[in-house]
Amino acid sequence: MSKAEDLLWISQVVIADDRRAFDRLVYKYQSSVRRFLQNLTLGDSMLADDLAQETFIKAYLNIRSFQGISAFSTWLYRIAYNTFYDSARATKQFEDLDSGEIDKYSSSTIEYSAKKSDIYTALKLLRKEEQAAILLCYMEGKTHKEIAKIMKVPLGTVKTHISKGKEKMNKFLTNQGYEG
Amino acid sequence: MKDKENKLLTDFLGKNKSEIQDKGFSSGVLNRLPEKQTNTRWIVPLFTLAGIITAALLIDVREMCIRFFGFLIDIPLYYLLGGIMLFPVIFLLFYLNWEKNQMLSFKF
Repeated sequence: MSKAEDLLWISQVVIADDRRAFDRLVYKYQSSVRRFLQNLTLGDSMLADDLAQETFIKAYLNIRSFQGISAFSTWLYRIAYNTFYDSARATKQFEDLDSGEIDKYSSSTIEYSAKKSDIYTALKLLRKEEQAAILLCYMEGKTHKEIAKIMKVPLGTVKTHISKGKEKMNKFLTNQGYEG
Repeated sequence: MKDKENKLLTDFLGKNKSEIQDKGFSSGVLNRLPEKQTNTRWIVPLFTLAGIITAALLIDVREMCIRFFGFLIDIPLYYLLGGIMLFPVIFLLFYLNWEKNQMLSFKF
Protein backbone atom coordinates (compact mmCIF):
# COMPACT_ATOMS: atom_id res chain seq x y z
CA MET A 1 0.00 0.00 0.00
CA SER A 2 1.63 3.21 -1.15
CA LYS A 3 1.69 6.06 1.34
CA ALA A 4 2.36 8.62 -1.40
CA GLU A 5 -0.72 7.48 -3.29
CA ASP A 6 -2.81 7.82 -0.12
CA LEU A 7 -1.47 11.31 0.55
CA LEU A 8 -2.29 12.36 -3.01
CA TRP A 9 -5.88 11.18 -2.68
CA ILE A 10 -6.21 12.73 0.79
CA SER A 11 -4.97 16.10 -0.47
CA GLN A 12 -7.48 15.94 -3.33
CA VAL A 13 -10.28 15.35 -0.81
CA VAL A 14 -9.09 18.14 1.49
CA ILE A 15 -8.41 20.76 -1.19
CA ALA A 16 -11.08 20.08 -3.80
CA ASP A 17 -13.58 17.97 -1.85
CA ASP A 18 -12.94 15.32 -4.53
CA ARG A 19 -15.35 12.49 -3.76
CA ARG A 20 -13.85 10.26 -6.43
CA ALA A 21 -10.52 10.40 -4.60
CA PHE A 22 -12.27 9.51 -1.36
CA ASP A 23 -14.03 6.64 -3.15
CA ARG A 24 -10.58 5.27 -4.07
CA LEU A 25 -9.51 5.41 -0.43
CA VAL A 26 -12.69 3.61 0.65
CA TYR A 27 -12.23 0.96 -2.03
CA LYS A 28 -8.63 0.41 -0.98
CA TYR A 29 -9.28 0.07 2.75
CA GLN A 30 -12.82 -1.33 2.90
CA SER A 31 -11.71 -4.94 3.13
CA SER A 32 -9.32 -4.52 6.07
CA VAL A 33 -11.64 -2.21 8.03
CA ARG A 34 -14.68 -4.46 7.48
CA ARG A 35 -12.69 -7.60 8.38
CA PHE A 36 -11.38 -5.97 11.57
CA LEU A 37 -14.89 -4.91 12.60
CA GLN A 38 -16.41 -8.25 11.58
CA ASN A 39 -13.99 -10.03 13.91
CA LEU A 40 -14.59 -7.54 16.72
CA THR A 41 -18.35 -8.05 16.43
CA LEU A 42 -17.75 -11.82 16.47
CA GLY A 43 -19.09 -12.38 12.98
CA ASP A 44 -22.05 -10.01 12.84
CA SER A 45 -21.36 -8.83 9.30
CA MET A 46 -24.39 -6.52 9.10
CA LEU A 47 -23.39 -4.63 12.24
CA ALA A 48 -19.76 -4.64 11.09
CA ASP A 49 -20.73 -3.10 7.74
CA ASP A 50 -22.82 -0.42 9.46
CA LEU A 51 -19.89 0.42 11.72
CA ALA A 52 -17.52 0.42 8.75
CA GLN A 53 -19.81 2.87 6.90
CA GLU A 54 -19.87 5.08 9.97
CA THR A 55 -16.07 4.83 10.17
CA PHE A 56 -15.59 6.04 6.60
CA ILE A 57 -18.13 8.85 7.00
CA LYS A 58 -16.33 10.02 10.15
CA ALA A 59 -13.03 9.80 8.27
CA TYR A 60 -14.43 11.94 5.45
CA LEU A 61 -15.77 14.57 7.83
CA ASN A 62 -12.53 14.74 9.83
CA ILE A 63 -10.00 14.17 7.07
CA ARG A 64 -8.54 17.66 7.64
CA SER A 65 -7.39 16.52 11.08
CA PHE A 66 -5.26 13.73 9.53
CA GLN A 67 -1.70 14.98 9.88
CA GLY A 68 0.11 12.26 7.97
CA ILE A 69 2.43 11.40 10.87
CA SER A 70 1.13 7.84 11.01
CA ALA A 71 -0.17 5.79 8.11
CA PHE A 72 -3.69 6.47 6.85
CA SER A 73 -4.66 2.88 7.69
CA THR A 74 -3.59 3.41 11.33
CA TRP A 75 -5.77 6.52 11.48
CA LEU A 76 -8.69 4.59 9.95
CA TYR A 77 -8.30 1.68 12.37
CA ARG A 78 -8.35 4.18 15.21
CA ILE A 79 -11.70 5.60 14.03
CA ALA A 80 -13.03 2.07 13.46
CA TYR A 81 -11.98 0.96 16.95
CA ASN A 82 -13.57 4.05 18.54
CA THR A 83 -16.77 3.55 16.54
CA PHE A 84 -16.95 -0.08 17.62
CA TYR A 85 -16.17 0.78 21.24
CA ASP A 86 -18.88 3.48 21.35
CA SER A 87 -21.40 1.13 19.78
CA ALA A 88 -20.55 -1.74 22.15
CA ARG A 89 -20.74 0.54 25.14
CA ALA A 90 -24.08 1.98 24.02
CA THR A 91 -25.77 -1.34 23.34
CA LYS A 92 -23.81 -3.68 25.62
CA GLN A 93 -25.23 -6.44 23.45
CA PHE A 94 -22.00 -8.37 23.13
CA GLU A 95 -21.53 -8.79 26.85
CA ASP A 96 -25.13 -9.99 27.21
CA LEU A 97 -24.86 -12.75 24.64
CA ASP A 98 -23.63 -16.16 25.68
CA SER A 99 -21.61 -18.23 23.25
CA GLY A 100 -24.60 -20.37 22.28
CA GLU A 101 -26.52 -17.30 21.19
CA ILE A 102 -23.52 -16.06 19.28
CA ASP A 103 -23.25 -19.31 17.36
CA LYS A 104 -26.97 -19.21 16.55
CA TYR A 105 -26.85 -15.54 15.55
CA SER A 106 -23.66 -15.86 13.55
CA SER A 107 -24.98 -18.79 11.56
CA SER A 108 -27.75 -16.64 10.16
CA THR A 109 -25.64 -13.60 9.33
CA ILE A 110 -22.32 -14.83 8.04
CA GLU A 111 -20.88 -17.52 5.86
CA TYR A 112 -20.50 -19.97 8.63
CA SER A 113 -17.78 -22.59 8.83
CA ALA A 114 -16.11 -24.62 11.53
CA LYS A 115 -13.00 -22.51 11.19
CA LYS A 116 -14.98 -19.29 11.61
CA SER A 117 -16.72 -20.81 14.60
CA ASP A 118 -13.35 -21.51 16.20
CA ILE A 119 -12.05 -18.01 15.69
CA TYR A 120 -15.14 -16.38 17.19
CA THR A 121 -15.21 -18.83 20.10
CA ALA A 122 -11.53 -18.13 20.74
CA LEU A 123 -12.02 -14.36 20.52
CA LYS A 124 -14.99 -14.62 22.87
CA LEU A 125 -12.58 -15.79 25.59
CA LEU A 126 -10.76 -12.46 25.45
CA ARG A 127 -11.64 -9.05 26.75
CA LYS A 128 -12.56 -6.44 24.10
CA GLU A 129 -9.18 -4.71 24.42
CA GLU A 130 -7.33 -8.02 24.11
CA GLN A 131 -9.39 -8.97 21.05
CA ALA A 132 -8.56 -5.68 19.34
CA ALA A 133 -4.85 -5.90 20.18
CA ILE A 134 -4.55 -9.53 19.03
CA LEU A 135 -6.46 -8.90 15.79
CA LEU A 136 -4.45 -5.80 14.96
CA CYS A 137 -1.17 -7.54 15.70
CA TYR A 138 -1.63 -11.01 14.22
CA MET A 139 -4.28 -10.45 11.54
CA GLU A 140 -3.78 -6.88 10.38
CA GLY A 141 0.00 -6.89 10.83
CA LYS A 142 0.27 -3.72 12.91
CA THR A 143 3.26 -3.05 15.15
CA HIS A 144 2.85 -2.63 18.90
CA LYS A 145 3.55 1.09 18.54
CA GLU A 146 0.83 1.45 15.92
CA ILE A 147 -1.61 -0.53 18.08
CA ALA A 148 -0.88 1.84 20.96
CA LYS A 149 -1.80 4.76 18.70
CA ILE A 150 -4.96 3.03 17.46
CA MET A 151 -6.17 2.08 20.92
CA LYS A 152 -4.76 5.24 22.52
CA VAL A 153 -3.13 3.34 25.37
CA PRO A 154 0.52 3.17 26.51
CA LEU A 155 2.85 0.72 24.75
CA GLY A 156 3.18 -1.34 27.93
CA THR A 157 -0.59 -1.82 28.10
CA VAL A 158 -0.64 -3.06 24.50
CA LYS A 159 2.06 -5.60 25.32
CA THR A 160 0.07 -6.77 28.33
CA HIS A 161 -3.14 -7.10 26.27
CA ILE A 162 -1.31 -9.08 23.60
CA SER A 163 0.46 -11.30 26.08
CA LYS A 164 -2.73 -12.13 28.01
CA GLY A 165 -4.76 -12.57 24.82
CA LYS A 166 -2.10 -14.79 23.28
CA GLU A 167 -1.99 -16.98 26.37
CA LYS A 168 -5.77 -17.50 26.41
CA MET A 169 -5.99 -18.13 22.68
CA ASN A 170 -3.07 -20.55 22.61
CA LYS A 171 -4.63 -22.52 25.43
CA PHE A 172 -7.90 -22.72 23.55
CA LEU A 173 -6.25 -23.62 20.23
CA THR A 174 -4.12 -26.33 21.80
CA ASN A 175 -7.23 -27.83 23.41
CA GLN A 176 -8.93 -27.75 20.02
CA GLY A 177 -6.07 -29.72 18.49
CA TYR A 178 -4.31 -26.96 16.58
CA GLU A 179 -0.56 -27.23 16.37
CA GLY A 180 2.10 -24.59 15.85
CA MET B 1 8.33 -21.81 23.21
CA LYS B 2 7.36 -18.19 22.55
CA ASP B 3 8.10 -18.62 18.84
CA LYS B 4 5.91 -21.71 18.75
CA GLU B 5 3.07 -19.78 20.44
CA ASN B 6 3.45 -16.91 18.00
CA LYS B 7 3.49 -19.29 15.04
CA LEU B 8 0.35 -21.06 16.23
CA LEU B 9 -1.52 -17.78 16.54
CA THR B 10 -0.13 -16.31 13.31
CA ASP B 11 -1.03 -19.48 11.38
CA PHE B 12 -4.52 -19.67 12.87
CA LEU B 13 -5.42 -16.00 12.36
CA GLY B 14 -3.64 -15.90 9.01
CA LYS B 15 -5.77 -18.78 7.74
CA ASN B 16 -8.88 -16.94 8.85
CA LYS B 17 -7.80 -13.71 7.18
CA SER B 18 -10.01 -13.30 4.14
CA GLU B 19 -10.36 -10.45 1.66
CA ILE B 20 -13.87 -9.01 1.67
CA GLN B 21 -15.24 -8.12 -1.76
CA ASP B 22 -16.51 -4.56 -2.12
CA LYS B 23 -19.93 -5.53 -3.60
CA GLY B 24 -21.29 -1.98 -3.60
CA PHE B 25 -19.94 -1.05 -0.16
CA SER B 26 -17.88 1.91 -1.47
CA SER B 27 -20.78 3.32 -3.47
CA GLY B 28 -23.00 2.91 -0.38
CA VAL B 29 -20.53 4.97 1.64
CA LEU B 30 -20.32 7.59 -1.09
CA ASN B 31 -24.11 7.90 -1.24
CA ARG B 32 -24.25 8.46 2.51
CA LEU B 33 -21.57 11.16 2.58
CA PRO B 34 -23.06 14.41 3.84
CA GLU B 35 -22.66 17.67 1.97
CA LYS B 36 -19.78 19.63 3.40
CA GLN B 37 -20.65 22.90 5.10
CA THR B 38 -18.97 25.78 3.32
CA ASN B 39 -18.16 29.18 4.77
CA THR B 40 -19.97 30.95 1.93
CA ARG B 41 -23.43 29.53 2.60
CA TRP B 42 -24.64 32.81 4.15
CA ILE B 43 -24.22 34.68 0.85
CA VAL B 44 -27.35 33.31 -0.89
CA PRO B 45 -29.90 34.06 1.86
CA LEU B 46 -28.34 37.47 2.51
CA PHE B 47 -28.52 38.56 -1.12
CA THR B 48 -32.04 37.13 -1.48
CA LEU B 49 -33.18 39.18 1.49
CA ALA B 50 -31.45 42.29 0.15
CA GLY B 51 -33.14 41.74 -3.24
CA ILE B 52 -36.59 41.36 -1.69
CA ILE B 53 -36.18 44.52 0.40
CA THR B 54 -34.91 46.53 -2.59
CA ALA B 55 -37.76 45.26 -4.77
CA ALA B 56 -40.35 46.09 -2.11
CA LEU B 57 -38.98 49.63 -1.81
CA LEU B 58 -38.58 50.37 -5.53
CA ILE B 59 -41.40 48.53 -7.25
CA ASP B 60 -45.00 49.68 -7.09
CA VAL B 61 -46.74 46.29 -6.71
CA ARG B 62 -50.21 47.64 -7.50
CA GLU B 63 -49.03 49.24 -10.74
CA MET B 64 -47.21 46.02 -11.68
CA CYS B 65 -50.35 43.90 -11.17
CA ILE B 66 -52.47 46.27 -13.28
CA ARG B 67 -49.91 46.14 -16.09
CA PHE B 68 -49.68 42.34 -15.95
CA PHE B 69 -53.45 41.80 -16.15
CA GLY B 70 -53.69 44.48 -18.84
CA PHE B 71 -51.11 42.55 -20.82
CA LEU B 72 -53.11 39.30 -20.39
CA ILE B 73 -56.33 40.98 -21.52
CA ASP B 74 -54.60 42.32 -24.65
CA ILE B 75 -53.66 38.79 -25.80
CA PRO B 76 -56.24 37.43 -28.26
CA LEU B 77 -58.34 34.58 -26.82
CA TYR B 78 -57.35 32.02 -29.48
CA TYR B 79 -53.66 32.56 -28.66
CA LEU B 80 -54.34 31.78 -25.00
CA LEU B 81 -56.45 28.70 -25.85
CA GLY B 82 -53.81 27.52 -28.31
CA GLY B 83 -51.14 27.84 -25.65
CA ILE B 84 -53.18 25.88 -23.10
CA MET B 85 -54.03 23.12 -25.58
CA LEU B 86 -50.43 22.78 -26.74
CA PHE B 87 -49.22 22.18 -23.20
CA PRO B 88 -50.10 18.40 -23.09
CA VAL B 89 -48.39 17.87 -26.48
CA ILE B 90 -45.18 19.59 -25.30
CA PHE B 91 -45.30 17.64 -22.04
CA LEU B 92 -45.71 14.38 -24.00
CA LEU B 93 -42.69 15.21 -26.20
CA PHE B 94 -40.56 15.91 -23.11
CA TYR B 95 -41.74 12.66 -21.53
CA LEU B 96 -40.91 10.60 -24.66
CA ASN B 97 -37.46 12.20 -24.81
CA TRP B 98 -36.85 11.41 -21.12
CA GLU B 99 -37.99 7.80 -21.61
CA LYS B 100 -35.64 7.41 -24.59
CA ASN B 101 -32.70 8.66 -22.48
CA GLN B 102 -33.61 6.24 -19.69
CA MET B 103 -33.62 3.30 -22.13
CA LEU B 104 -30.20 4.34 -23.44
CA SER B 105 -28.72 4.61 -19.94
CA PHE B 106 -29.92 1.08 -19.15
CA LYS B 107 -28.28 -0.30 -22.28
CA PHE B 108 -24.79 1.04 -21.46
